[in-house]
Amino acid sequence: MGQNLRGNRSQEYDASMLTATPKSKSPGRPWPITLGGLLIFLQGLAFLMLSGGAMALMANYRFLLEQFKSFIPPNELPPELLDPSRFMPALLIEATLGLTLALFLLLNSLRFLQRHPRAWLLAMVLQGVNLLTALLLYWRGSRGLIFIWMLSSLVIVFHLNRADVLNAFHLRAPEAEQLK
Amino acid sequence: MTPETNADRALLRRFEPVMRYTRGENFFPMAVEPYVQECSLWVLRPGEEPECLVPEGELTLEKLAQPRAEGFNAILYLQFIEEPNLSEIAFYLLNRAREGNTFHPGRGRLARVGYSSRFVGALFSLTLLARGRIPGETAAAAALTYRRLMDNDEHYKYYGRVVRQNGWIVLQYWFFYPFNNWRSGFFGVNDHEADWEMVNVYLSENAQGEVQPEWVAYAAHDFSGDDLRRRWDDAEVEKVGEHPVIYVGAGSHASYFQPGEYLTELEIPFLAPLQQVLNSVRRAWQNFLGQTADEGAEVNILRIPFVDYARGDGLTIGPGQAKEWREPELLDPLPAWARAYRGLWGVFVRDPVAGENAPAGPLFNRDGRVRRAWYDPLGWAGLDKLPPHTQEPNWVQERLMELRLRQTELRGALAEKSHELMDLGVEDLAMEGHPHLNKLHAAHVKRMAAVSNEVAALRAEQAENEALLEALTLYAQQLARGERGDVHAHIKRAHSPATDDGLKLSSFAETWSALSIGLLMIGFMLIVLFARQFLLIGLTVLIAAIVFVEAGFRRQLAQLVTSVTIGLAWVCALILLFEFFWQIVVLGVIAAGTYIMWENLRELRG
Repeated sequence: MGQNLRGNRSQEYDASMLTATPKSKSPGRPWPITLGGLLIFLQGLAFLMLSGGAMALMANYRFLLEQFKSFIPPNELPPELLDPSRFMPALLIEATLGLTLALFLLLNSLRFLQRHPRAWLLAMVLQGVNLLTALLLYWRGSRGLIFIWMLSSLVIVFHLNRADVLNAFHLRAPEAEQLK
Repeated sequence: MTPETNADRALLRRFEPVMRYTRGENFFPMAVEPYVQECSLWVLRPGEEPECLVPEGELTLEKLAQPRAEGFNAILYLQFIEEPNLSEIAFYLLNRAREGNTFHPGRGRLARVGYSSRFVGALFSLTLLARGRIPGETAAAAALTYRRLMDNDEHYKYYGRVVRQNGWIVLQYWFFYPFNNWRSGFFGVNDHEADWEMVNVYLSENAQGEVQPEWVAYAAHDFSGDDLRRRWDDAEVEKVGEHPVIYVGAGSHASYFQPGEYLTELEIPFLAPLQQVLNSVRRAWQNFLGQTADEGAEVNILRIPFVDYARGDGLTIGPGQAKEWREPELLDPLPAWARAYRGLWGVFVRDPVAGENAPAGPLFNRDGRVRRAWYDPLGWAGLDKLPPHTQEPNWVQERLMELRLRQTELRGALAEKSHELMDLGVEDLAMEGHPHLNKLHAAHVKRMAAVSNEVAALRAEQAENEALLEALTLYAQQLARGERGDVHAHIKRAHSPATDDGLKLSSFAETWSALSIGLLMIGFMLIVLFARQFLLIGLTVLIAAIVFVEAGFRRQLAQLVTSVTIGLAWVCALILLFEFFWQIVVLGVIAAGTYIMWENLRELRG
């Protein structure tokens, strides 16, 4: 898998890898790009863990239920927990969407660090999807993790629209040059 | 006729403009007399129905000029078209179409602007139903009447005036049109009976008494002061011999230096505060949050765009052109009709925005006050601060002499004050440690501070004057070399014709531009009628669909995604602020405290 990915990489990327120094970031990459890439990567990782966790929960539902029953009397368990048909479909959809989003975010973080021309726009699209989903869930009454979700996307959007990030992607002429 | 009048007339004729109109234009500058003879005179008193003072066919310029005291808030106005004859109008329009003298808008304003402006524009058009306006058939009836008048006595005429002010000779050309059909004929802002337009040519006179043109200024929408005028040697000022060429806006009769289609923006007064809020948010986004925004300093989404077509592909009037000017009439001495009649020169339709009400005469604004262009033709075009070019070297030399004199005075004053200050300083040192001189010392300190301030102010003035002297000397050298600097240096906002560079829409997309806002409104009404329970979602989906299609046509999908994401981020930020207000306050205070501690500790260690 890794070999295939390496084989598909552009010549430009390979060249940059060959000339890379042992330092953690490639030479000449501005810190706002590194920070942006890192933030997106962390967000993707969080989604991956949450979605993976939800998947694992669904896969081991019966085993976990038995474990619960061993130390909580069944009549004290929430009735929703005893009837998987009431929450499994929604959880499956949410976990699948979360996993897809996580994969996109992780891939985007790599492309962002490579300063791929479309990476900034894709990052904005993904954050738009994130924010819209978080808002819809908030509208439907969800709380808790939603706020962390919103906050992380908010921070990333503001960071993506910083002048130095945009300049690094050649999306805006630097202000100083415009004044000249 | 006095020799002065003859000389003024000769000057006016020497520099009279060449007017190039757009194909499809119906009205051209004419004499006021035949127009007034076709009009009736009315008065509208507050709370009363309009009263006809002089009926059509009986009105003359003498009767118009008769003094009338109708009381405060009474409005005097002329009415050019009373009862249009529909069959005659139909016949006229048919004939006109056959002649081929029709206007084709081409790529109009809708394709040039975004949906927000189009939406505000659609609302503005709807307000015409509620506001007073000129009825649709009036323009055609006016054109028919104008043609009849021209058939009787074809003429093209302007009114002229020569003003001598501050060493300048201002040639003022006034053009009277019987009708402005910008809205009904050319998709513009308004229609109204009668239209007065004006251009100025600014001359200077040299020591030999020879005049030479220096500037021209044309009245145009949205522009004022310095932006109105161009230097005579500016390549933008087209000339036929000594006659400046004016490209006249179709129907609006605004004047332009270059041919083309001009995008003018109409600002709705009551939306101005909302626009200011939007601009403030934009500035906060850029300045406080360090974010970048789209090009263009300020967003103008709440202004309505209109196109003023000044193509110059129609009739041309002027010396040596298809139609020539008739002998002009001088407004000096001022004729009684211009001086005494302060009412409107066409019908008053009670339009609160005033765009559809007729204008007053050449001297007056609609409210009867004298126009600035009349009493201050130099200040109107921002020329009141400049001497004529022929006198400029003398002005500069005089100013140089004044400044040098002032510098000599300053040197003397400085020497005196510096001496006094040093005396005070020495005395101050001497008084140190003598308790019995305590009171005197306090007075000394006060005096010393005052003299020190005086010396500082004198030195500052001296330094400023030195810099000014240097600049004036350089400018004097430049003038001596015959250089006049950048011809556009005085212009803050130039009016240039719109280009098609940013217009990459297909014909289908242009059709979409014309239909989208109407579709949105119809869609909204259908949701209200048939699916009211889904009103919010339905409207959101409808707007989103229109915005998405529009962005696709304009190849601005990336920009749309960015704007939507930023908008969502703002909504989330507000939700977080609402949900965690006190936590955010506490965190903010802790962060500020930590930062202050960190800074102080750094200072201690450093």
